[in-house]
Amino acid sequence: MLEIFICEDNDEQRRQLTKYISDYILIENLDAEITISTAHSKEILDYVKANNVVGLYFLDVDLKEDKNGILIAAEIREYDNQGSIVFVTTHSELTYLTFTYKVEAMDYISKDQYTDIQNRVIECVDTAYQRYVKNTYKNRKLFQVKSGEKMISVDYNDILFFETALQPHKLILHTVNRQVEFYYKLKDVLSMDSRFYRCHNSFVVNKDNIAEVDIAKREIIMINGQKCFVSNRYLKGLKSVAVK
Amino acid sequence: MSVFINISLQTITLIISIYILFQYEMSKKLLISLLIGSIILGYPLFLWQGIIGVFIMLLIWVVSLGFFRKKLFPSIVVPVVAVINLVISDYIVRAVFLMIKQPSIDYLQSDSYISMINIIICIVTLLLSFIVSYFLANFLKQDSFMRSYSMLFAILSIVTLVIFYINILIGKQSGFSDENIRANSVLFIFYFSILIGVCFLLTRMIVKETNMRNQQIQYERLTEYTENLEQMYTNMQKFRHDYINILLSMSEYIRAKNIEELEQYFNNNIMPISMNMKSNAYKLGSLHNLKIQELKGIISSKIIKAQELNIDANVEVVEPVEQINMDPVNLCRCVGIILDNAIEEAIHCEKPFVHVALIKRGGSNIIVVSNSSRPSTPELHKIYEKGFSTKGENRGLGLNNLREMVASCNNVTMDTQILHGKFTQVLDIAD
Repeated sequence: MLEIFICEDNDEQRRQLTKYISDYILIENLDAEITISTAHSKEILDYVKANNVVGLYFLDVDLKEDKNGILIAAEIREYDNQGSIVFVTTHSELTYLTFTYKVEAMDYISKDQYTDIQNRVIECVDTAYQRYVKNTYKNRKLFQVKSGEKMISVDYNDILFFETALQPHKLILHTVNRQVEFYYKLKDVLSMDSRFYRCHNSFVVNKDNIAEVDIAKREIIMINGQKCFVSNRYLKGLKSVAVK
Repeated sequence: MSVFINISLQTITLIISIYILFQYEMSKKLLISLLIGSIILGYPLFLWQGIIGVFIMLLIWVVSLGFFRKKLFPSIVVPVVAVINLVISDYIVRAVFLMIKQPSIDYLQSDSYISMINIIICIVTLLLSFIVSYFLANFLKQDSFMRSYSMLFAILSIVTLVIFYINILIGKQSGFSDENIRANSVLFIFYFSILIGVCFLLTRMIVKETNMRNQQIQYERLTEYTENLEQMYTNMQKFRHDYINILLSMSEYIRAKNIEELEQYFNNNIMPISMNMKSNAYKLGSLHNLKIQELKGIISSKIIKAQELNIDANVEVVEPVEQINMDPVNLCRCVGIILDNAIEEAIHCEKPFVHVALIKRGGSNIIVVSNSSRPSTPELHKIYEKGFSTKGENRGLGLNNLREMVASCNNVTMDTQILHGKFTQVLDIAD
């Protein structure tokens, strides 16, 4: 069940938000419930600390307590790093990117008169619910590494290959629509999943996403057409995988 | 046989000094194939052409290095400098030897003398290469200067070498005397040191000039930013001037209890002002939190440029950013490339936007640039290919350059993503 938390100190707005969400859960018959709807962030934090939650959080940015919503979100992140955080705020000077990257917020709802709040809330519940369903039923495995302050999580199925960068211990992870650098050892990546195969001194490839292997040119062509090198001595191990 | 060994020894020395001059950045494969190829070719070339054979050798090196390393200028200069090193060491060693003792003519012609002196020459060449490589590395690092003066230096080094060899050939025709060797060595060393001195001074001058030009650009950008702030201030003043009037007229409606007209007045006159507050000039407001002048300059100027192109562009700097742990010149170049790309791509979209944010996260500063992108945008790995550009041939060095620059800093990582019509580039700079 998807647990939903609301932290908003304006009573009227909290009541409205709660109503939008509970109505939507009822209508769509979602496997979700509003666990806590409160004006005090402490209640939510205590609950998150005590239970193992993957939740959806609606947080007001400007609360009438000494902590603001961003700090609360950062604290929630320490215990629930997969949950979805949505900020609700009157700040209309867009700080969307800051929210997204500071605490990996999922979305941002502006409380000004131009926004159809109900619609936006429903959108958020939908997205979070789909994410939740995907994670539980499909047993989707995420490749997760922490590099410095950065948490990188990518679906194993999306990974094409890893490549060493020029700097020592820096790797580049290639997926179809993302290229991300992080500090890690190629050897440690290799041992993380059986799909990974060391095809070159500086490459580890995801065997599931190989389209073909060009033996003459010593290249692996990935499903998106991207090329990855393979060296002679590792070629043998690939023959069983995907030689066409 | 001894001639073969001597020639091969010199060839090996030359290749190794090329390797040294390239700061050891050469693949082992290339190094070994150059070594073997040159040894095989060197001897027949010497027999056929004498010492002029070295020029043919040089040509082969330049072509093969240029082919494998893709960079023309170093491929020309490095081998030429290596040969100059050899010639100079040759003269130094012979001159020193003659100074120490006066050997007989017979001894000078003997194999043992020639091989011994040859080994010493090779060692001196390598030592000289270490020294010269230090200068050359500094030289090649100056990017802006390489672009404008690289050809001049390539020609200069070739001319130097040719002059050296003409001198040698003339000396050979008139027969080498001790005097001759001494005079030549003094001349060569003198010439070479002057050349290095001049190059050194020139580099310093050019670096200074580049710095000044950069400062000029930065100054212009900051001026633009200031103008933007001034405009914002003027708007505020206008508003201050107006709002008393607005309040007065509103109070008039209220006193008359004319709610309908008040509503109309509010919608027609006051709402537009609040919309106006959201206008472009205010979107740069949060830049005041950015305390790094260079970066502030480049971001404001690019954002203003984007706004002029009717792109919804804004900047978020929520917390004060005082310091970013990266060389400011490189940082500005990286951010410049990212923003240029973002703007170029965004223009073509239906709802163009470019959002920039500077965020402190734990022990690092992150710079996020996110822009709208067309569905037809090529796949990520194609964008990163060398020479790729959406604007046609020979212009797409941007992203590739960016990756190289980031690769040279060991506290900076890049994250590029295309998702749902949004292209996001994140630069993570650890403290």
